[in-house]
Amino acid sequence: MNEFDLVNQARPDVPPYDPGTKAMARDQLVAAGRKRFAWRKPYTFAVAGALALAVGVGAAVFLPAETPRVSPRQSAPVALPKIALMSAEQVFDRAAGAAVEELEPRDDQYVVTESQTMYTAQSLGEDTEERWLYRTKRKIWLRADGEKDAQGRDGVLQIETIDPVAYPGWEIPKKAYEEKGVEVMPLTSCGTRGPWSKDYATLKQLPTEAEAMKAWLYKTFPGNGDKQIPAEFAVWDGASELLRESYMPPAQRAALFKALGTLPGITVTEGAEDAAGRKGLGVGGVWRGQRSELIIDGENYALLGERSVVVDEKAAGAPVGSLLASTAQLKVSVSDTAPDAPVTSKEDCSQSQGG
Amino acid sequence: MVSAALSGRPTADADAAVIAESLAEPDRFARIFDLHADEIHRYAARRLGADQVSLADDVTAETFLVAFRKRRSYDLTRPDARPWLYGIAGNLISKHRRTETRKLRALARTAEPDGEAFEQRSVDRMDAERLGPSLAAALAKLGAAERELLFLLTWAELSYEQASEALGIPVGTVRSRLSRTRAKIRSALEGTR
Repeated sequence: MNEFDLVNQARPDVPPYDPGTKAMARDQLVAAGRKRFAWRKPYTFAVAGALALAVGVGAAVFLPAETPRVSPRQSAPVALPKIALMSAEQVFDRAAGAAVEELEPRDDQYVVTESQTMYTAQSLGEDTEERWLYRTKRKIWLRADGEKDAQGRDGVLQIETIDPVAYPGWEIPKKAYEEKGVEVMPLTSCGTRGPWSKDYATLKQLPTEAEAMKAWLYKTFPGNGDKQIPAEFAVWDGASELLRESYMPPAQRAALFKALGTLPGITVTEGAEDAAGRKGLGVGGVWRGQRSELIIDGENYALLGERSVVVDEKAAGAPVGSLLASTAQLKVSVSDTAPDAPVTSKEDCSQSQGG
Repeated sequence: MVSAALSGRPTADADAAVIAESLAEPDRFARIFDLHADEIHRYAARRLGADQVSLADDVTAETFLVAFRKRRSYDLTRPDARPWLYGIAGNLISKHRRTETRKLRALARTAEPDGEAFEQRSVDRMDAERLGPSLAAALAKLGAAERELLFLLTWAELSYEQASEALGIPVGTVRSRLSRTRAKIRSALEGTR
């Protein structure tokens, strides 16, 4: 018997991966992707955004000496939600009927969405962990008909990474500043299109009645079977994703808001601020120690952005009041063209799928 | 996503394509998890021991999070992502083992002046419980890199080429390290007879 056989013979029998634990790990993975890239919201103040960022308070407490002194910011604690008099259903009913400037993109045009975001970033070394809140300005061009453009793209994404903000209790690592800069990338989907498709043509196919929309949401975003995380969270998360960096046609938007307004556990707070410093009504619920809200303008009931605030230190792993996600949808428009961003071999479906 | 997981082992070129897609659409990366989480978990559980299931859970979750963060640097010419995942998992497993032995050493510091020896013995003891004393003693004589390679080729059933990808070393080095490893085990086992 050789050494290999001996080692193989000693191969232990191990229990299978517990389905609940596995579902949680998967969920965590998906959440990591959302934190980093998927939550998005635009802005209206263009460059003046820096001024509007009430999120940033000049407290350089954790800055090590060698860190570049680039206007360090720390996320200031957010006052705990004050419950508003209106119900979620009332706010979303008004949002459903809000008069917003509507678009009618042609098939060959792009829907252009501009947003500003702040999400948590985490970096794990051998024995070290770093955390910070990274901020970006995003601009996304998506072909209205969901087809590929002349250059083989579904669209183009431009991400400008701006000054980071300290994660509560952590110093901003040097690398957080090194990420600053502008990236322009082609978007390609290789065949498989999931529920996250947000082109105008696809969104226009969604249900236009609240009940039908609700049924569609529960079916499309079924959660992962983990009892700790209610089905409503998956629905809320999926619906937020659809509203993020997209132009939701009026009929679908109305149905979506009405559907969300009837979800259990959704409440309204006042004075919720988006990533551009605009205040509105925060409509949302608490999951995993964080209150996740859609921010709705209190005057015209348009969607402003999103935020996520810690309400349970233990469950969220950050002090109560920490603002861990903040977005602002700034502008949605239509364009005939998208920036030059050629598809390289990295995004080329025919290559990566082996022909 | 679900259909791919249900249809069993996908065609080998699926992984690179999924990772390429996930650059623009991070959610797609969940499919890599769906396809390989069970396999990585099985390997972690074997390496860490049946009494350390929660540690295997952590290693598995962390493996995919690290992979997700590093996906931009994934070599898309490699269709099968498993060697890459095993490489990440292996690093995390050795990190956990170091932490564990450091902890044991700290606990025993007052009673055990020779910390290094204690650390080595605690590793030996963990292995011995699973592998039987003579094989454990033989494996304890291996370096961490030799041990990692051995387990990738046996318990994870990787080929030489896959192990070379997992460890980021040339196939030639895999062969030479392996023959050295086998010789060490052989002589150790002979020594115990």
